[in-house]
Amino acid sequence: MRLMPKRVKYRKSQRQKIKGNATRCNTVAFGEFGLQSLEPGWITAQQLEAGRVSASQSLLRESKLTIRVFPHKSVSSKPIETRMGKGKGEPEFWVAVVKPGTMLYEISGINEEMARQTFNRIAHKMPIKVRLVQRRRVL
Amino acid sequence: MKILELKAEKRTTKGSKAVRKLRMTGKIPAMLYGHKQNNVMLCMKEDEFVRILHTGTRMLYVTYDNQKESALIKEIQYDHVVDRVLHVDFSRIDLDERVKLRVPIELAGESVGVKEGGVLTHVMKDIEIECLPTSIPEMIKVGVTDLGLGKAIHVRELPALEGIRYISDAEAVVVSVHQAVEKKAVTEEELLAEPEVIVRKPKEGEESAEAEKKV
Repeated sequence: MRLMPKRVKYRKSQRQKIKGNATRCNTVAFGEFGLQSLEPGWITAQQLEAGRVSASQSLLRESKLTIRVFPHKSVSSKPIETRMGKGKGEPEFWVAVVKPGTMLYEISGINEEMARQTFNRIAHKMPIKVRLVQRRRVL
Repeated sequence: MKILELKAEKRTTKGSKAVRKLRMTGKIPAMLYGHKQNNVMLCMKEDEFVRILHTGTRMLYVTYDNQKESALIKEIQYDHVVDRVLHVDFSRIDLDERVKLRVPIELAGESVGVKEGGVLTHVMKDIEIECLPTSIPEMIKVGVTDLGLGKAIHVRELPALEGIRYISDAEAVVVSVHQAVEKKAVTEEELLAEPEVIVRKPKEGEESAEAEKKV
């Protein structure tokens, strides 16, 4: 599955800075356990997919994995051995912009030990520091 | 559920700067309100509150300035990155007054449908109930052992508990077992596809004006 938007308003985007912590998408909402980012960064569609594939190898059939982020941002680059100028490069890949505290993946239907093992496998595919968090009690 | 006692102090300082200093001393700010009485700004030891929170209790006796009031933990604000409690809201509640609150739903047993090859989906993870503060359940256990493939448990089918009324929609699904859906394989065309760029369609008047310009 290739993760990228179906329709976009603009093909290319500016890089932008990632400031502050996540104020939304920072709680476990769909599963029992979540993988939370501890650093800001870009997660490419390829890395997200690699995480999903590595998790699906260890997950049971009755468990469910949810990906909470989506690569909305295109990253462009210039071809090698090209002189500077002549405009912005073509979009090469798509990334999800992640702030500290953002929930990346969620799992339901398995116990904590298995969730820890699965998230450990995913964490190896991530370019940032992550940790396992449990769903909070409702009030 | 047992009602525990929480020692708190009145605070006079407010605002983000003062509260930040308060948190650095190991205390957390809180607010007590309700019953058309004055709001009281409180602060309490963080570790003491967290210990009480871990017991699963929702009702507390908050003591401050030689006063003791029964209160419900209404809302807790967290710092999700550092995993700390930032602020707590207490609502004054009489022990003979019915309260509305959300309680987690826990599933018990292994479903028949799962053994047959189905997938169990826990749709409603918590439910809104109305009960007396003294009889707040820690959780609502739902047995799923007899749940077959293609079947679901609705709110109306939840176990009737004494003194507890379910407020959530009676027809809402709590848990269901369904056939596993196989995902479609991605074709090469889809892999190479580029996103479509949204372009604003020019109105009729604009189109003619542009055509005139070109001429």
